[in-house]
Amino acid sequence: MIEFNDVTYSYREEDHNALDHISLKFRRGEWTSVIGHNGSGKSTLVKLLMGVLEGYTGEIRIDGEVLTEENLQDIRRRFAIVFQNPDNQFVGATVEDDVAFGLENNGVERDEMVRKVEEALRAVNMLEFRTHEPSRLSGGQKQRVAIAGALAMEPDLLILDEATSMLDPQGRRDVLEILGQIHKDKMTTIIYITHDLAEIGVSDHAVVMKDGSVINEGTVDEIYHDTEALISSRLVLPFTIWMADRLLEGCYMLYDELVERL
Amino acid sequence: MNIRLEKLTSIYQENTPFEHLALNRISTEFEEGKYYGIIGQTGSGKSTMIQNLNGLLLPSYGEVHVGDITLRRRTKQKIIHQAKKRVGMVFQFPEHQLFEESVIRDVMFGPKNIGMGEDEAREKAEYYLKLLNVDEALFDKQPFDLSGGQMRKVAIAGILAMEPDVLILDEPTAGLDPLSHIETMELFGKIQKEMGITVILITHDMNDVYEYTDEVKLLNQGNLIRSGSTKDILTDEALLREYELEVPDIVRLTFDLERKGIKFEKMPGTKEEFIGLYTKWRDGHAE
Repeated sequence: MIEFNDVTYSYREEDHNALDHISLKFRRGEWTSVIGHNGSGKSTLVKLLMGVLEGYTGEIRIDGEVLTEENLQDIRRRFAIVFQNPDNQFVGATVEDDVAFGLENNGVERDEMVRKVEEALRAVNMLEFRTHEPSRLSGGQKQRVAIAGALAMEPDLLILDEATSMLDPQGRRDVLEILGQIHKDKMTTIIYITHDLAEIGVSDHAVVMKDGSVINEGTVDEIYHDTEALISSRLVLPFTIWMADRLLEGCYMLYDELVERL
Repeated sequence: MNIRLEKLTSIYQENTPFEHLALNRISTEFEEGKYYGIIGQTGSGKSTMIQNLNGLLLPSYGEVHVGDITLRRRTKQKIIHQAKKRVGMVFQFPEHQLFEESVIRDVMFGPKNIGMGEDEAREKAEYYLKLLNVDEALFDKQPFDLSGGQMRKVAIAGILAMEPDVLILDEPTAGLDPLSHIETMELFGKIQKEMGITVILITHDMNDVYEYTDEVKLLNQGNLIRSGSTKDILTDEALLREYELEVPDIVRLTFDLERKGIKFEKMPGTKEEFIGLYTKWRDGHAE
């Protein structure tokens, strides 16, 4: 669905490449996680995809079509993105107004809009807050509303740019579970940007980035197996993997298996 | 200096249809030199509680005693200002609050703002920047030229340079990548030990609370449910489950292995200690 072919980008004020000859595929219907430390280039990747940055070399193709200035607007309309900090994304006076905003812009009929807003808010467990003022919500609650806003648009591609990193553990689990459900039910293509290795368990495919390059790619199993590559990428091993690595000569397993084998 | 809450009650938008009781008659104490964790679900009142500790919010009812300063419903700005001097607050992304033209001026801003002279402020600024391992070569640089991690240290040095008796950390690791998370928590651990100040940490990360704090206060829907030692509260699985809080990873694994018949001499406090205790048991039970 999305292809990066030999894409290189550098920020004007920096002497190294933020993205260094990246070639990657994001397949339709798959959940692809992109993992990397701060400054590894994962957010630059998203910015190029969203057309926020210009002046890269190489090409980006969406469904075979090369991304250009002309088709950018049309293509972007099919993507929804949720950022790390939703504070600047709120436009509505109430939670439900905010979620309805995109639908309203697209001229969705009122009854349908009400239904979609309700559905999206229920999906993120925020229905009871529908009449609340977004600015009064906690950080975690705000983020769930932002996700509802993206979901309501029923996009072809949902991008989450460290979207759970400010949520509490329960909120994080809820959101991951909800995203997993949506991905399964609707085959929504998901690009999940994260610096947390513990969050990639549900993905179909995972990409590890370091200093602007892709250093590892594969299934979650394959990624977790190569603990050395992860540590050298300045990532922190999740608890279970850390323990297994130290006590059982390093192999990827779920928590229950760890308990059984220790 | 201790902080004592006496029937602290905090009501948002009182006498409106949106009235909300955020804290309900909380009486408790924060003792000098200890490291506290405040835990509870989103909306339990954690943030409201700490905002009452330095006058960012004033009690709706009840009192907050910050040493010999008393904060009440209509306490005057002058007195609030004194509380703010003694209770420093580090918010999420403190580096976003940098604004001066150089690192050193930025750190000096706080001390000067509470009445220190230029020389004293500079002396404090230099001392705390060095304590946090910020290279002297950076002192005259623009804060915005530094890396994110260094900017965070500069921002924290700015709070420490006011030499507060109490340091409040409001979800200091939210949004950080895991490596910066560890570095930040290590940094606060070091500050707490070296300066001997009271630290109050708000976080959802029970692993951090378990590893770093001495005491815990558990809030739920504005009520103080439990106050006591971290070791007691964070190993109480039933209690944590009741309030939908995570059991720390090490505690959970230790209990699960004990249920399998593995014996630990004591509850491990860190991952390394777990490895040590587990290996010892295993070696004693080699097949």
